[in-house]
Amino acid sequence: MSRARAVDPGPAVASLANAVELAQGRLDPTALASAQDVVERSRGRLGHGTDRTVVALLGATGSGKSSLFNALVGADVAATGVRRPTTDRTRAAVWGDDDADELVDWLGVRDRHRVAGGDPALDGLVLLDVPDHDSVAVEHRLEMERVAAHTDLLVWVTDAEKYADRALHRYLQELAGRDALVLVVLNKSDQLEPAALAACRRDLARLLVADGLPGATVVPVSAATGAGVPELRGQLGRAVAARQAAVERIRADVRAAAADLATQVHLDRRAEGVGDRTERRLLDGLADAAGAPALADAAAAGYRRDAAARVGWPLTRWVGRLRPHPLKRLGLEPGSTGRSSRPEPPAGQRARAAAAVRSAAEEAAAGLPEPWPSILRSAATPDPATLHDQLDQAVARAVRAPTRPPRWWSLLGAVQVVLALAALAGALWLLALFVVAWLALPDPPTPELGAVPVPTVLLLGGLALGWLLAALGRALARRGARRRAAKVRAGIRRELAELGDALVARPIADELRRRDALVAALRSAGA
Amino acid sequence: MAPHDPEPLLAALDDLAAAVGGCRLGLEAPGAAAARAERDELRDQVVDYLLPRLRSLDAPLLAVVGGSTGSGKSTLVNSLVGADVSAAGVLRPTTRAPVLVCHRDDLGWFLDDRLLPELPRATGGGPATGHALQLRPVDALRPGVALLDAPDVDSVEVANRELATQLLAAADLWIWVTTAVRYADAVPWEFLARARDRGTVLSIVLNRLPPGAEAELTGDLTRLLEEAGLPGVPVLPIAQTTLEGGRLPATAVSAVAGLVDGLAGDADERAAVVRRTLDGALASVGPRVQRLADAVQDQERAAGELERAVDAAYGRAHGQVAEGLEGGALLRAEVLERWQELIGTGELLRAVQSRLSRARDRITGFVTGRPAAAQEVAVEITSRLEQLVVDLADAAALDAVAIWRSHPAGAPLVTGVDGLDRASDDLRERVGPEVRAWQGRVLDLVREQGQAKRTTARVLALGVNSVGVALMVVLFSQTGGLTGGEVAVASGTATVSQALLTALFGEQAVRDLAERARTDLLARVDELLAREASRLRERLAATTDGGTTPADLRGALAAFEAGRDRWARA
Repeated sequence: MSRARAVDPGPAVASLANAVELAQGRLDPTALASAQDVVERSRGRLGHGTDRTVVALLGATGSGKSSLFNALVGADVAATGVRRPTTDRTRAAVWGDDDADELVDWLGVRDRHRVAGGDPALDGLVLLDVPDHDSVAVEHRLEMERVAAHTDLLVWVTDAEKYADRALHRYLQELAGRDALVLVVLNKSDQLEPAALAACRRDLARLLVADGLPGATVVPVSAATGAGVPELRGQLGRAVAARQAAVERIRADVRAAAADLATQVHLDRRAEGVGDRTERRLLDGLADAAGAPALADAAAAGYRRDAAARVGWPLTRWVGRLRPHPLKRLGLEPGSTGRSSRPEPPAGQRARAAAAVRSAAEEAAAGLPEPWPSILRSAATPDPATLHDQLDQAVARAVRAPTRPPRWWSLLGAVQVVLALAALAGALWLLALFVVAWLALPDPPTPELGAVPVPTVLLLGGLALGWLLAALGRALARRGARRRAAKVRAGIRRELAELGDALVARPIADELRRRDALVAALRSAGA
Repeated sequence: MAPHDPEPLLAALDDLAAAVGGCRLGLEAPGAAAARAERDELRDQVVDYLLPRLRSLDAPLLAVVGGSTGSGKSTLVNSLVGADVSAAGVLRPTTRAPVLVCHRDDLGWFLDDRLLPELPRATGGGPATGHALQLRPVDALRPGVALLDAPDVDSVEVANRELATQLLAAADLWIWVTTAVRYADAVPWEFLARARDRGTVLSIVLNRLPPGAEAELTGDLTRLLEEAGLPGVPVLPIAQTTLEGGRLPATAVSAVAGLVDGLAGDADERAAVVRRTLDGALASVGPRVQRLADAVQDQERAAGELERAVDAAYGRAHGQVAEGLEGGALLRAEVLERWQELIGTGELLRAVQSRLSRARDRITGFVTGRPAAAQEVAVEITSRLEQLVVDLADAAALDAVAIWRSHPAGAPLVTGVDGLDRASDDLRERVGPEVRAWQGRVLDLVREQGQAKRTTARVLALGVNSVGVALMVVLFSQTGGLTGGEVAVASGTATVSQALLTALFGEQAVRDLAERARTDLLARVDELLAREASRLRERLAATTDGGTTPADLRGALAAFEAGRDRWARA
């Protein structure tokens, strides 16, 4: 064969099938269903080999489809008549050596005729005489639409009376862009003067251009006189010999279905995706919703309180313990588990979290038209009932993270105890001296440090140093509390970043990857 | 009253036409497209046909020649009058402008705009342009009957079908042309069913009968007519023949010519045909208006559903704002704590209650020493409220639009419009000033209260701003209901503020103040949300407002039925 074979349509069909799979639940279900039909039909047709060419004679009632069918077959196989509509079942005629039973079965046609010893140029042709599309018999129209969907080459038969019917052009408009698969036969040419026939043909060509089929061939024919039938037979013979019609039809169908889906996908548009800025804003929103600043403050207050309890002046440090621990009040002290005892957040904060998630989805979808923002939004919208819990758990993990008491607490604490003991010893010593003096006993020798007696030094020094040390401890605790707050804040942000990632960023990224795959599939299906 | 005085009926019909024409049917509720077609057709028929025909029952009978493209309508009319009045040819569709042929004496009836008043007229012999009604006086036609060659009903030219529908609705008699290959086409039968439903008198011309098949095809068509509920409709055959000078020979059209001549010659028969079609059309008005009223009701129902979706979404938002004010968590804890540190501790509270002067000293000190504190709380309140309102408006817009999207009538109103599913871009800019205006109002309230209570001096000493902020803090810390002193407040801050205010104004007054401030704020929020909701409401109103209601329609119909009964009895 001289003509190059068209590309195998199998991969395109597979791509379309893949695209349908990827788009499930995301694109318009009607478009998906019809794309799925194309996939199944194409696979079915490919399963019967593309060496044969299925040609259907379609048209209005009374256009002479059956007469033309008989003229092409060369025998009165199909009943013709004046009563309308005449043909109510599809009939097949098969040219060639084998009867192509499986293919004809697949076409759903029961009445079949073997053309024995016919024109060898038509070997491999399966010609179908199909019921009309415009009569009061609705079942004819349904049968015609079914057959037309399974056919490789569509021959529309019309005549001078019906060539401008809307019923015909509605179907032709659906075939827009598939000029190579459409042949229009202007039948009953014998009933028109040559000039009128030419005018009619021109007008039909004009309508075909308007239908989107500028390249469709118009063949004037008279089934009654046989004029034009050889030309038509030649056209069919060329199509049969090229063995391309089935492949072309499948490719055209797949391309059209892919293009139809592509109108919803917008292949050339790219999503922004989840960028750093979006992530930061999501994090801010979540942190706000989770009440992060208050928690950091509580952690800092807790630190200050604990520090005071350890390094404060031993005689007063117990007072601090009477106040409730700020973290314990929230149910977030180290070692606690389960939900925090923070109150359910108010509507405003809940809305804040939802809004943060939503605007993250929206920013990620920027650049994509509907339905994608909606799809991304629903992919990234966490269940509002559990969102609060998840936020709570995330911050609780950060706040509860175990911390070791700083070493300086024990050191200062110990020194404080020593100083307190020294002050106590001094006080007791002085008391003893006082008792001795009161009893008028001779003064025991009292060592002196410089000019001051040691017990006085112990008492006053212990007190003064203890107070100084407590002040130092408070200052150190304030610094430590600030550090602790910063650490908790950072921990919360880390946890929330992870949560945001799991709830929003990853689902969006997954969905966008899926869309990329869909775009690739549609492109390779020919969209 | 003169017999057959049509005036009351005419007036009722006029009103009915106005009511029918006024049905908006703008929503894509189920069946809306069909209802719109029904409305236009009904109104056209009343204006084009019923009113003029009732005004002049003795006007010439108008026979409209209708049918498929290429069925030979123009050739038939040309052949009947023996002149090329309407262009005929092989190019489809041939007739685009309708051609009316009548006797010279009858021309006056059709020249003025009684019949088909909205259709432009053209009398020149030039080529037909546009859709103007071409008037052609001919001598071959006897007075009393006019023929109208209508455009096709089934070609690619959709405008032709609409014009043909309008012309057929104005006919006293349909002469329906079909052919041997056409007679089982689906589209023409839809029109014939319409003639049946409206009681229009009908004759069918079966054109281009192949030799030898006349009887078979005429019989088949008669059978189809019976099946379609049109028994007894005359079928006038025309055999397939070669045209002579573009026209059918007289022998071929004799049956049709006989029909036309018979009507022209017999005034009683003519009046009977006119009356039958008129009665049928009048009788069909009731059910058609009923169907239309049902459709309008469906529209109202759909509009109500959409309206309720908006109400629910924004109502929820409003409720959540109110809840947000009550929960005590609108203000961040750290801001409240700073406020508390500034205005006092539990000890101060006691001091305030016992010795106001000391509290005043403390507070004055804080006000003068750190004036930024009250400001900070005010700013915090503004930004929090801003955030709350915008977030909730966002959520409400999303909810409402989601419901509209999933509603058949709502989807067309919101698809392709950007930004409807979130708060308006300028909402944030509008919330800020509104909240600040409210804060101004709160300060006014405090000032008024101060004067009323003769506590001006104390309030002034404390600083109106601080007192106002204290009131706001109290307001945002209430947990459900305002229960004054025994309120279970969420944070000590509110207790302090509350105690301060109570000491200044008294318990009842504080309660009133808080209630008024709260009402004022909620009213402002309501207004903001209403403006948000109006984006959707206006879209809905644009397609529904001001149309005829089902009650209007039914009222007009009742008046018409009464008028018709009186007219028919007379």
